[in-house]
Amino acid sequence: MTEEKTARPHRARPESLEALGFPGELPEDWQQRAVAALGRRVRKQPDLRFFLNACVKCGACNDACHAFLGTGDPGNRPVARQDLLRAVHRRHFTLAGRLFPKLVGALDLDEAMLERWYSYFHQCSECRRCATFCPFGIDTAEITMAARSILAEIGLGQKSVAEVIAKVHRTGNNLGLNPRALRHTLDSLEEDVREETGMDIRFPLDEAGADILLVTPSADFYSEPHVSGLIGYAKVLHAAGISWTLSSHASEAANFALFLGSDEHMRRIARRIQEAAEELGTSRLVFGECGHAWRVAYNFPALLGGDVPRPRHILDLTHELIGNGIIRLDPSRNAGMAVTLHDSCNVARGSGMGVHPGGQLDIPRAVLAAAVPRTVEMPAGTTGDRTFCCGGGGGLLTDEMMEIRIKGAAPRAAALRQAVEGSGATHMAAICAICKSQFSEVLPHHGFDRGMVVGIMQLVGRALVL
Amino acid sequence: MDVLVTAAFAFLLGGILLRMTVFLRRPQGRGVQPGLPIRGGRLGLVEALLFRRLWRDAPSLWLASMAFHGGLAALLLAHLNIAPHLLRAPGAAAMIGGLAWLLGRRLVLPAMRRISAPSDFLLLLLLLANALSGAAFLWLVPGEMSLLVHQGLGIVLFLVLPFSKLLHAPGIVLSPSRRVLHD
Repeated sequence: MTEEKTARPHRARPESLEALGFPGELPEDWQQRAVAALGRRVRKQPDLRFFLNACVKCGACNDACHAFLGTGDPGNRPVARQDLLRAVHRRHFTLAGRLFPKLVGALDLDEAMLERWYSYFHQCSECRRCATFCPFGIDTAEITMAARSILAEIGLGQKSVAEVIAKVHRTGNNLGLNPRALRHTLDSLEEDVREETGMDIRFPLDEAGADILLVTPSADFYSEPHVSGLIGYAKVLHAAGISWTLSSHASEAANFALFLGSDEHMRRIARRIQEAAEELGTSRLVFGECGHAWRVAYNFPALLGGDVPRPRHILDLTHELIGNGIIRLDPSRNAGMAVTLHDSCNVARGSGMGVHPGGQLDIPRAVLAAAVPRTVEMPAGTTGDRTFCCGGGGGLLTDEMMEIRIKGAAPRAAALRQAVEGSGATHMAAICAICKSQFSEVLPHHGFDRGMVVGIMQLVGRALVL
Repeated sequence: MDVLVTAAFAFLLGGILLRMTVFLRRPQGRGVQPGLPIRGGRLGLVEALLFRRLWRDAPSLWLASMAFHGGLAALLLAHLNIAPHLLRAPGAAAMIGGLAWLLGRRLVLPAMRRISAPSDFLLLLLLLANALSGAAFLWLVPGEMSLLVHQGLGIVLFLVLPFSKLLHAPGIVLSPSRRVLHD
């Protein structure tokens, strides 16, 4: 099984798992523990029980997954991936599976199966495209998340995700930036923007009483094209005269616990953002361009309970400011650009935006159209609620997964090629830090220049009339 | 025999009710909802009757499913003595044709064979056997023996249906993913 060997993330070290409350090593009785964990998960989450029970093996999802299309590995078909968990569930929790396992495709959780779990549940980017093909809406991401959380409970974690979660608990962001380093970065950004515009545009940190607490993915602090997006947020808020601040306590929008399927850690990471907002006394949370962070943020009321309000997306706010005439964009400042939008999976399929259904698809397009001279679309069926994953989501954005990341991006690259050759697209905009990083790294392998990957707020920042 | 058929039918209804308690359990979010905010995705009943997703993504599968389910519905009505002479022949043709197609693709397409368990084939064969035995009784070898075979197969179907994937209609209407995210 060569394809499996190339697609297995590094295992988390014992100390990183123990820091998150998981066992560091595979315990003696891992099999019983895993089955018990599956039972608990299914009882707690009727959705999962439904997804495990509802499949009729119709094959409608067979060609839906970017990972399958890119690798050609049948193990990456959505139904095949789901069946890895389904077969074990059937064996232990259904009458037919206990009595006639062979007949109904029920399988024991042995070492070979555990290996397959570790490999295939880490090749799923949890993008949920397949769920839109399933007549029953079976959500493979929920199955992947459940399987990953069970793996963590028996000491089998993915290195980068486990370390990132530990880091965000410890320092407030995925990079481990301390407040002083963060302030230093922001100072140099203020300097850069002053040189570019001749204006004092501030990047405030921990300023109590600001109207808005802006939460961005930490990639926005250090690498291109992300930083240009952060500059775009700052310029827009400055031009609109809105008082805002970043927080060193919540200096990260990302919530990798979603990828791990750990509700407990996901809540804890989300709560620290809400706490930062309460401590600083800001009246509204606004999220920057980060796909899965927005999915979690959109669910804040359900996730954190009580009267926690739903945060706002920076694109939604920008859209309103453009509509009210409070800010003005001059698309000619992006002259020569024809931009196509890559809908980020977690935004397109995992959230909403603004007040109208479908706003998560329409609002980014409206803002983009206001910022550039020309926009073009990639072929139908590859965007909107059927958008292809960038191939790097769900915690796959690590070096050792490079081969599957390159292959997983193939469907998006093929759609982009059509937009470039057919409609003259010069750039592709993304609204997610993972998409931007992934595309910058893998598009060159598909014959594109990495510079064609941009963010919408980056383009807004350039077009904004100050 | 009629008593047995009636008992099996009662078992079928009871089994469906029992299974519905699983389907009907409120999907409680674990924080992040699995709902898919798909435009026009709210009408589960329409989906269950027209299979629009299959129409869009897998037209040949749609046709086979429609033929089978339509034929099945026609034959159910005929069994209830509703226009039997009008419904029997086209219903049987559609049901048998649809089933043969569904079975054929599962056998012939490598992707389908790969994702199929033995039970996936056996359930199709059970349905096909029900349809063929009924047709045989009506048109080929009428008589006591044929009727007994058909009724026997019907009893097996009634016993298996509620506790197998054959009971999947409620899943289309009640899928957790159908809850639209926008509130």
